[in-house]
Amino acid sequence: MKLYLVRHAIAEEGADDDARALTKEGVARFRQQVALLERLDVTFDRVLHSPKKRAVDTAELLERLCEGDFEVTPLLASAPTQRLLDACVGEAVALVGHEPHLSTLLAWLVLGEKVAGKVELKKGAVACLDGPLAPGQMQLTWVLPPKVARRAGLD
Amino acid sequence: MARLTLTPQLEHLRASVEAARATLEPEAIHQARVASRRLRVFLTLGGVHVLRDDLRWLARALSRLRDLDVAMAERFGGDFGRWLTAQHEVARRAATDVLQHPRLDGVLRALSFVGPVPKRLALERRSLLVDAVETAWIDLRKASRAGALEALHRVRRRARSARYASEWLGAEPGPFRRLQEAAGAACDVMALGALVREYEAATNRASPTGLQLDAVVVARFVPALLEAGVG
Repeated sequence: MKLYLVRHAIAEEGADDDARALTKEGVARFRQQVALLERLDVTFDRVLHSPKKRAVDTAELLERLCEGDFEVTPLLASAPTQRLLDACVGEAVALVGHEPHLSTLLAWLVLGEKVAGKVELKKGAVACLDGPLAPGQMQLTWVLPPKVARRAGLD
Repeated sequence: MARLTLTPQLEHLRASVEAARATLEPEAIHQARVASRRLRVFLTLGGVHVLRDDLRWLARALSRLRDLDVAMAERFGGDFGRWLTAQHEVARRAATDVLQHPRLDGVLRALSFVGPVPKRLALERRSLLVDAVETAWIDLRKASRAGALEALHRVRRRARSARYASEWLGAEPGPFRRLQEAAGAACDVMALGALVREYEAATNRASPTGLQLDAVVVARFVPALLEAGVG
């Protein structure tokens, strides 16, 4: 399967971490990222996202790439677990979440170890993994930092 | 600019989920489904795509228990009554799992961050829902006997969405409510018919009602509904 790890776009600062919305710049930059993903023919048959507002808003921007269901899960707002992997049903699944959990998940699936920060995921970045969905079994195919779309001038 | 907020229905959903978690009472299950559908229509009016699937999941996941609650209220006796009681117990356990599922906590949390919807935008989207009812109604008039049940379901679903959209906007929901209720009565009979067929298949016994309930709907409910009109 293909698993796309999507870090939420740039968000406002705020005391209530769960309620932080995307900034206008965050929305605009992530729209460029979505346009680039569209050019790369990336589609999802399921999008799982954290319930935090910045992840919900980022998932909404992926709507035109999603051919199936959206699903909210608190499992993406905490350290990765087997239960999260069990929820990833499909052939092309996107997970919209937060750091350090996403890079920890990436390392777990590629290297078999739950360590954060082995791959840098900027806000709005997307990483594509391919292979069997099990610890140490997936291959990191590419990472798309948001500046690639920005420099390509995509709308 | 006038705006709509989902807060009252979100509170309704929270309260009914709390009540359902505590008691699994039929009314709490029913209200949880009603609130999730009303919120889904709110998201449609606001052009929000995320969380709609989660609300549909909740309403559907509780539908088996709701259908069995309605059937149990008829107090069937004999083998069918015992079969219903057993199925009801299984459905209560499944509903308990759904009500404890992390996805439900996630959707309640995420819904609290959905912002208000401009009324002008919501009015435009409501007109699409109203058009959809009219299309479904025309399809029902044209439907063959074989297609009538599916067409009736579609009328009910779309009338319900148009009703809830009207209520969100403070518009008169009367015709849509009447249509939803009339189609709903027929759909309740169809739901009972589905349970009877399941019972027959599971036990190799004949229908406890002695009737083909889908045929009753096609022969009686659909003509009566078409006769009464949209209003």
